[in-house]
Amino acid sequence: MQVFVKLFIPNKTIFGADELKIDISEGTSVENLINVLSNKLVDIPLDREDTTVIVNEKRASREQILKDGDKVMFFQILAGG
Amino acid sequence: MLNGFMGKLLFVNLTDGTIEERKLSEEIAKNFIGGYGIGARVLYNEMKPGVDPLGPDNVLGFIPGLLTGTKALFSGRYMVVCKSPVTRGWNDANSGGYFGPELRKAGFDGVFIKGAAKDPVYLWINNGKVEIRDASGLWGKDIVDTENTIKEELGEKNLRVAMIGPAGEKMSLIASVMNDGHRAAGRGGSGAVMGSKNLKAIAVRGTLQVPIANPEYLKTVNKNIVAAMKNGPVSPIIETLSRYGTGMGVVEAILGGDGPVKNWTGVGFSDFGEDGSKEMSPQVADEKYRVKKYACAECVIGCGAIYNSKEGKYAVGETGRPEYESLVGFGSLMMNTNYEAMMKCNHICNIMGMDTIAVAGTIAWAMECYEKGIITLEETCGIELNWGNADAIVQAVQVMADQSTEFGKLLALGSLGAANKLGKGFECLVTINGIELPMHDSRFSPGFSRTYYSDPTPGRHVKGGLGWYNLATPKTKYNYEGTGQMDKTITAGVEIVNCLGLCLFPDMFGIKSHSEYIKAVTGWELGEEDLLQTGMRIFNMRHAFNLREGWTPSNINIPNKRFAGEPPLETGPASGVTVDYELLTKNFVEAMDWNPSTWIPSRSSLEQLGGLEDVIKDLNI
Ligand code: SF4
Repeated sequence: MQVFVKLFIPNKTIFGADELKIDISEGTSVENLINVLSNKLVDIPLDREDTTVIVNEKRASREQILKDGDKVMFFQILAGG
Repeated sequence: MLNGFMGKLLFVNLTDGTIEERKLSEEIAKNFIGGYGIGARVLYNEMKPGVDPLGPDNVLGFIPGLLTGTKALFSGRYMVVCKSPVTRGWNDANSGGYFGPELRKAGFDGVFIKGAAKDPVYLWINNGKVEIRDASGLWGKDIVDTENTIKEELGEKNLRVAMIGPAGEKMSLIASVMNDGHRAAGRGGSGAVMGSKNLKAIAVRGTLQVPIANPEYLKTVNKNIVAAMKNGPVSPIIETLSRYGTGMGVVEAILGGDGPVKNWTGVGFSDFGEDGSKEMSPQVADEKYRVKKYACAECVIGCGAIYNSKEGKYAVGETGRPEYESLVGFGSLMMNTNYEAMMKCNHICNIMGMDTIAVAGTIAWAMECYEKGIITLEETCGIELNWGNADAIVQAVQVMADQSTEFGKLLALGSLGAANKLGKGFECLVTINGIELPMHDSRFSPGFSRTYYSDPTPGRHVKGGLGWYNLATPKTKYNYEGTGQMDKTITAGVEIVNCLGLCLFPDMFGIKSHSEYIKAVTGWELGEEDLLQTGMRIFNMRHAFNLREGWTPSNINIPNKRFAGEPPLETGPASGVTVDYELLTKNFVEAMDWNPSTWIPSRSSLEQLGGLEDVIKDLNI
């Protein structure tokens, strides 16, 4: 199973890509994905309470179970200006 | 002598040409600290309620913050205050750059303009000397030309200028006061007020020093701030802001639900799309256009940049990199994906002196009306205002600036003014008390709804409240119970940041030392509780100005409730959300100890704050 994680600055710069494909197993939750990503993505504290998780364009809880092909993005306060 | 202050306020009456210096009293300095705090106190005294905002009885103030002109980091800001011709109530607008520090070093803690000149004039303040000069040769000139001509005429290249462009001269309600080429005290129509006084510019030059209580301690506080920025947990964010500016997260914001789409009727992913937003990222645009970095006075972040767009039909040459608000406004709000057109619109606003948020909000309103057949091609004078039509957007901004067509004149009234004139299109407005809302969706961060609705300057994202806090509290943001105290505390804090003359960005990331800076500069010992009180005093002072103008909760103009999700969006990150802005407001009003139905503060709350005795008397409480 694969999910797609959208990347923004600064991770986008570091990976040189707009999104990451991440292999996950059946039953992986948003929380589990965050744990996997925390080791991969730099400088963005995804595990913080203040990160909004959006799956397939809708707000998602940490407990939500991911499906194959889900598009995940993390919204952080640094976005606004 | 009062440490931290130049000790003088300047009053200029343009009707009879009188120039008067008044001592800044210690009481006002202590109670209202600077910026719009002092501004609100002075205007409440100097003005009567009910005056025409575009008549000679409006008073227009330019007031730097308490720390402005000192070496305190991020302290370069000044505020323009007046009665707003847009909301017809209190107005303050805030700008960075270098004008504020220069004004203080020229000898004044604030300048207040009364009356109106018969013919165009500008003010020249040079190290305490003040002169009213003929500006007939400047009338009609854009911002860049005006500044250059004044420098040449006075033979002083180091002076700084706050000025209006042609939009302000024509008293367009979306006109801003501009300084340093592309910094704007944009909101609420202060440029129109300046134009109504026939005041083209204020030029300042100063080499005086703001007296500092403890210069060594000031250096220490600065050092600690720099260390916290470099080594603290927020250092990556600060670095990103420094590199890419306020647009650093624009794509994320549009796709994530913070940045409104299609005049607040659309959704980032499904309507604007990932491809649409790609070009807007400063990461992409920097590669093509970036010439150099730009920083306000005393700033060690420098979130600005100078761009050069040389080619194509929207080329403008050197220009400021568009900020977040302008990118969303001229981008997703109008479904426009042409980055060079966004730059062009932003550039026209800068040189003609217009508020990009109001301009974008007004055109987006007109586009929705056009698409729905409410406004006809005849009424747009031939501009095909379809969503995303870049040529049409640029044309609309241009005619709005020069008012060369009937449609341009209509748009220059702002969206509510235009709807009123046409007698239609009210259902497409996104305004509160006539002012267009900024590019932060209150359905995604509900706290903004309370601020947009009930701040003394409605419709602002740079005022206090739970909006920014909600961006960081996704789990609880839609829980509207018990929000009052937190809302009040954050609101008071933002009053302090603004009136100290500090930039909001470092503060938002927790980089702050307000008490320490105040102590270093003035010698005053103010703890957290004192600052909360001061913030509340300033907030109530601004609010009192509006109450005296007859504001009540029942006469706040809300043409529709789109901003609160009535009806809610069907898809996207804020789908199904209807914000209970009335409950959020009720909680805030309760925490402020205001009457729930009139918003009149209780006598005891004002007595406790002090410095508001005349307000208590006027309100008869
Ligand atoms: S962070 Fe940006 S807006 Fe703030 S003071 Fe620095 S340059 Fe100016």
